[in-house]
Amino acid sequence: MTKSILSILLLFILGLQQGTTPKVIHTTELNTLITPLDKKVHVINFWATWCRPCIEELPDFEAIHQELDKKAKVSLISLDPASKAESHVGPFLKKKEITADSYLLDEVDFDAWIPIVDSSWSGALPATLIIFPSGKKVFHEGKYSKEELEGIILKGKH
Amino acid sequence: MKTLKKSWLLLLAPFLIWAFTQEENNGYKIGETVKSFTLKNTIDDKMVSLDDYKDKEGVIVIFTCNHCPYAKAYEDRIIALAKAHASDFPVVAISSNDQDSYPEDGPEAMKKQAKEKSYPFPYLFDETQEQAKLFGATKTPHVYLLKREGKKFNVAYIGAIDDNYQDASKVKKHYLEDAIKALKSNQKPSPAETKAIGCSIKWKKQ
Repeated sequence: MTKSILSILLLFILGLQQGTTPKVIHTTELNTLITPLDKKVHVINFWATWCRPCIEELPDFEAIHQELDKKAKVSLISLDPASKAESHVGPFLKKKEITADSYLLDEVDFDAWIPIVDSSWSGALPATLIIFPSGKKVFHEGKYSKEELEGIILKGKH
Repeated sequence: MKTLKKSWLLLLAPFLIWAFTQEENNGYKIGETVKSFTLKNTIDDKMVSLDDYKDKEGVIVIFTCNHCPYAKAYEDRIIALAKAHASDFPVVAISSNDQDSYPEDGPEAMKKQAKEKSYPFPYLFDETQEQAKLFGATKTPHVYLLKREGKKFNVAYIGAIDDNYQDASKVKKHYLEDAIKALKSNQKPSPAETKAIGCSIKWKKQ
């Protein structure tokens, strides 16, 4: 009995520690993410730990996640190597206090999946895809400010 | 009068949409002729011009830089490419990053990096960022394979070097090598364009 309580506790502690490690996903899960079925505005940001402009805008995405959580759903997709998910990306997100849903896309054949996200995406980071409940999509290659994000999510302005 | 105004807007709409979408697609397209350019080679401070390559079959123009992990991951592969194709399709590397925000990509740092790794190709600094804009380069590395036709250099392939930046030994599709092979057998590269993740080119602040 004590043993099982201990193991549950241990799992709980491990769970807490790994709370920020991004979920490693592949093209199938990416497809699911970019075809949401609920009534929220989905904000999907592609980033990497080595990308300075990406890191600069991360707090804005986190703020949107916290402030507009009834209306919008933020998903952060890291393009760091999968081998660094736990050692690198997780601790980085923890340090930046990111609580938005976090993934790491483990696909190196970029040409196979970049066009699925948006045909106009050249592959430069950062990049953000915003999907409205109507199915309308807004794609942007480059940085977003918090004001721009709010404008798009709340008023559909872009 | 009001309805007239509205109908004008309707007439304008397709143009506005066109003008809006144009913004994202500028730069040389497949088949287009590249304007000749002359930029300073950071390795020896001599000027290098596209016209210097008129005795070659074409040129591999690669927008790259020092700091980007993807550029670093491809550095050795670019060196190997340059050695393999010195006589037919030489490599010309260009860095267009803003040196104010990224001093590690400035000409002095470029020279240092090129000397350390003994680059067998010129490493040009596009200080005004004009070439990146003309080519439509958005990231590093971003490859433009040019085929010489008479005195002109036409774009034959745009995109990635291959399909695995992480591990050169696991590459399945050698996009650029295949495109060069196609040109050498007088065929059009297929695919003529591929996409890859890269670090965005760091534009100067307006």
